[in-house]
Amino acid sequence: MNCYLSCDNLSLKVGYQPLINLFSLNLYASQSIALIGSNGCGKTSLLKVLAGLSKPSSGKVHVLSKQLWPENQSEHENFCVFLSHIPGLLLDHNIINNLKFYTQSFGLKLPDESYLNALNRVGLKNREFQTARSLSNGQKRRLTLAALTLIKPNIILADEPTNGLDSDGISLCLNIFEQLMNSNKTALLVATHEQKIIDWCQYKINLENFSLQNKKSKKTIKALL
Amino acid sequence: MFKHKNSLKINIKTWFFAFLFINKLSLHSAWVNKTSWFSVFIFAITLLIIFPFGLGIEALKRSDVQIGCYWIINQFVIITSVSRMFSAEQENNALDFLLSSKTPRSAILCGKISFTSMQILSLQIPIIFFWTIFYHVDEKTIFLLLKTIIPVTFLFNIGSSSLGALLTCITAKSLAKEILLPLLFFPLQCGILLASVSISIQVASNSLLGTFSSDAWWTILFMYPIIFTVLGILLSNILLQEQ
Amino acid sequence: MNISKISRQNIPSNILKPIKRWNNLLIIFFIIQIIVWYIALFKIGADTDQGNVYRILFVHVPVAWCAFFWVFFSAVFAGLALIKTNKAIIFDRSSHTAIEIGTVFSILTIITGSVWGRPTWGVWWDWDPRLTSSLVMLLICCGYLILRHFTPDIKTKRTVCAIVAILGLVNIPIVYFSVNLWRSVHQPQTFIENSKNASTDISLVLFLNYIAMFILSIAIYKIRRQAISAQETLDAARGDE
Repeated sequence: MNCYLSCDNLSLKVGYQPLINLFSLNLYASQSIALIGSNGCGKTSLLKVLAGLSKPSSGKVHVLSKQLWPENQSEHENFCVFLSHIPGLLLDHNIINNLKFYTQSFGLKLPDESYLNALNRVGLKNREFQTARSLSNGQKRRLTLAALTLIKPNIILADEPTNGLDSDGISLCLNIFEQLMNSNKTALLVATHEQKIIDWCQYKINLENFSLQNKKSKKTIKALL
Repeated sequence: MFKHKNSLKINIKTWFFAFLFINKLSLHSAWVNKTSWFSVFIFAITLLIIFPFGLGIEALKRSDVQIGCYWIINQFVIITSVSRMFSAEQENNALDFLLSSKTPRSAILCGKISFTSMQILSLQIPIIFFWTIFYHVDEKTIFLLLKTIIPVTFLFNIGSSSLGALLTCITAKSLAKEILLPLLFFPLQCGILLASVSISIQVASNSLLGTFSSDAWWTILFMYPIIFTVLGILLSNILLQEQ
Repeated sequence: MNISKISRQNIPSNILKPIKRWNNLLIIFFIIQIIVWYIALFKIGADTDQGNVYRILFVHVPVAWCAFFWVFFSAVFAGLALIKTNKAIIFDRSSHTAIEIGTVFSILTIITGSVWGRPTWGVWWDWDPRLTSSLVMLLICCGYLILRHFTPDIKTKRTVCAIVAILGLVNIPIVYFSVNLWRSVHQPQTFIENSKNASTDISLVLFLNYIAMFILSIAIYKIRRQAISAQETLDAARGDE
């Protein structure tokens, strides 16, 4: 089984406060892992580090067996998509242009019908030229899911992907994830509170186990010059 | 072995395509948000009109005052354009998405610099037109002036945009970014501003702002874009990072 | 209850010793500076053109040189902080201290320069290129300090401040060569061109003043550096609770 994403003794800090301590993970192809934990325990920060957006304070991250931290040694495009909890869109552009932005960021050139088919799939039919600003939160979410079907990524790092979606939307999201895992061997790491997704995922990791919140031990801090 | 879909190797070709992609994207954002361009243009024309009231019509007969006013208006155009450089992408986390792909960060920065300088140039052309009309710029000198002002403006745009790109990234996460951007921008830009003004004035009134040749000023004009763009490319991984 | 005695007992000696050492050195260097100022004020003859006013030169020139030196060093430390990331904390603290010292000396440069300019040129301020460049350097230092204060996250703070310090460094050569490049009412640099402008004993006293002010600034830097280390360590300790 190919290991798509692995991290080794990752530690995260917010300012001087430690957030996550010695977190290790191996994510394989066609595997789905749910990250659970209370608010503020570091799910979003962890996903950002794994996506390459933030720096951890210590530890190593390897994506597709090439090192990402501490030194970026990747030579090829990883097709690792990070979905933030607010759907990242260009608000003044129309929907088709947003989809093109998503696919062209990864260097993919696709024919126009594939965009229309993707929009049909997620229930945004006949809205190609509507401005993204006028969409509701759930519709923006569906737009990002449409982009997923077009990009067909190797790794998906999703931060609360069902935020704002109705029950149909949640089923659609699960369908798309399932299809990508089966046909594309996508690996999935989802940070979520939604019970349906947690039950659907193959494994669960509780981030509370990696925080030092309740340990009140005496610490010595080395005074550096 | 992993299935790299259309295995995109990160090399010069992809860097160049990413550069063009960012330019196209920013052009599209600017096109969709045309009112922003017009608002800066109207603001610049308003400034053009205010100067005679503040300085008096007699003062405007002098060519160095005319050129000085032009460059002051340029400063305002630059600072408004630079502060909006990343705003379309930062507004809704689209920049996070862009950064999670392997788009080279130096290409993103260079693309933004080149687009901003083009955008400022597109504003400066109508401003020059109105400036020659409102300020009765001498016809004899207009042709000579335009021959110098166009390359000077071009270099000034690139230099200021590259400096502005660096500073926008630096102050993006700060709590006082509206103050910090002008506070850091104007002192660092002094050199290129002085160079541009001096060369323009030398052409217009055939006198020099200093007792030295204009070669030194041209050197400064060339050095600024080069230094700051190179600094931007080298530091792009640190600048466009979350933490 | 003698609090100061108790608190001093709890500080380990490897921290207390450097603090005491630099406190004593500061006093010694300050006394040296006073002696050299005395020589400059009373033991040297008056200048032919400017009379006794020129004596502020002995404060203005060393202070100006110290300002440039510390801002330059701040940029060097900032570069090291960006390159050697495992020791970034130490270099970043040094860079911060150096910019603070540079700011103080820049303000003193401009004030002493104005005081000198008023009797000699007739104005408190002139838009002379060198003066303008010094003012610009002061603005960049202030920008650094404001940026440092208003950036909440500690890691971002270190990186962005290092970048701003390096940008300030790119500006300093322009300041330094401005005397040769732009029209200026400043006198040409006194040491580089084998001083046709200054007589030997003035040059000697000026040199002594350079040394005295420089070592005084080093002592101030060391003490401030220790204070900043202590403050950041305390912040780290408080942050962990």
